[in-house]
Amino acid sequence: MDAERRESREIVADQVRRFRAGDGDAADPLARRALRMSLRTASALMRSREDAADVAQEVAVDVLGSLGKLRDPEAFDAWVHRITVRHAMRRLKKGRSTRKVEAPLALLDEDGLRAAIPDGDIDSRLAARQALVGAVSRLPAKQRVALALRYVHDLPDAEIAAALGCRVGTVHALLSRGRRSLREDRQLVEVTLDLKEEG
Amino acid sequence: MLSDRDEALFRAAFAPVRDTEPDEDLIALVISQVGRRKEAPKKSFPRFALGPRWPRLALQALTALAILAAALYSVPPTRAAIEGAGESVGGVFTGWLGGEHAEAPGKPLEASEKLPEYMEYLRDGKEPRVIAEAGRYKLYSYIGSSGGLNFELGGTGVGLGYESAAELGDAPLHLLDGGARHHADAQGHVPLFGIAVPSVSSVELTYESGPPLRVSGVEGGFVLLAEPSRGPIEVIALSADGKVVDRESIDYPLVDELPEPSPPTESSGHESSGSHGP
Repeated sequence: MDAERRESREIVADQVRRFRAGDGDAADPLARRALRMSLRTASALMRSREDAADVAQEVAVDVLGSLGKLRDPEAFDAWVHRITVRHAMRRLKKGRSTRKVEAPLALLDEDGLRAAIPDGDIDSRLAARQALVGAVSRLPAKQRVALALRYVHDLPDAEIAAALGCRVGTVHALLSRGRRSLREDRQLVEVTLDLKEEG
Repeated sequence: MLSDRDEALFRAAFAPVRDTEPDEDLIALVISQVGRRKEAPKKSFPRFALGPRWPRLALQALTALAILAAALYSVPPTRAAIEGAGESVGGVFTGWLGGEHAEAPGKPLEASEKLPEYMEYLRDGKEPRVIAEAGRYKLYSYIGSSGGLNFELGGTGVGLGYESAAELGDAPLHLLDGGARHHADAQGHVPLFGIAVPSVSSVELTYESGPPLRVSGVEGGFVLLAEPSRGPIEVIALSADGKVVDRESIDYPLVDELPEPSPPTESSGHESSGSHGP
């Protein structure tokens, strides 16, 4: 896995170098990568697909437009995460979303729900989804971002800290508080307890 | 306590977005936008005109000796030592990161300073400072937990991080740019921000048309409220006696699209503002 990641990082770094040298063909794979990464993060945070796509578009344009500032081409992914966090946080904090949806996008997928809660009937899963939706949407924005980077991109604490611009200790606290809030969410506890009993 | 089941639940809750892919229309849109504002090399002239190669080699050797001497005596690299190698923003900020507190840019971030909620983490940073402001924009700098250098343009979500201040380069002036181009204010001004060495006391933004925007009182950083519609040309760094210390050209668009001209209002006669160190 490490070798795969290393190879991927080197390929991306090469694309970054070619892009900066004026190779227009390198724009496409870099734009796709930046969009994919930022869209996944934003989809876990925003309350609509349109908002997530807006954030991803802003991020990708900014990332490619500012690649001249990226000193280490191998740090492309970290650069994308950092810019994604800034755009997403700004949007979350300013409450710019005008499209009101009841849940973060990540939690609306039925297949994902089935994977999350394999036991229980459809009613139980729906109840669990409602509880998850409520619990996650009540988390402070920064906790949501930290959880998204961990569970969407599998980032280690140090890379989450780099993306958030904070200390690793702060990331520990954010993840810990986020998980605790979810664990202690009354509605979610009730639902998952029911599921455990059923299982 | 976090059980395996809880962990699996959290992980699976986010699983659907792990496979999310952007559609081709969005990709095409981004590529077209990038094509329009693709950065060209910003340096249009040599930073140092030292002429023959040997003085540069001698300078590098002296720099190495200065750094070695500092290391031998277990003293952090001082700004004075770096300045001996030629004044540069990289050197100046390296000095600050190395513990040269007296020469730090701007002013310390006060505990009473009101920050946007998302920027509260700045207070966790080492020595957060306000290094410039203009209009509603403030430029912050702080040392990260890993010793890196960070900048934040307050309220815009724009920030930059450098693992080492040396990455800022060897010029006396450095424009920072992390995507602030999207943040034109109600008057259509775009914050153009950067850092400069201490000998720079003012900066001037020249335009294709109309008078330049000049800001004095620079203390390590600056924010210029640029007017994209007038065609910004370059930022010139000036010393206290008016000599040009450095210049950096603006050879990229400040905004994706120029805004429609707004109708004149009663209060539209105010001067463009720039900023200076706090």
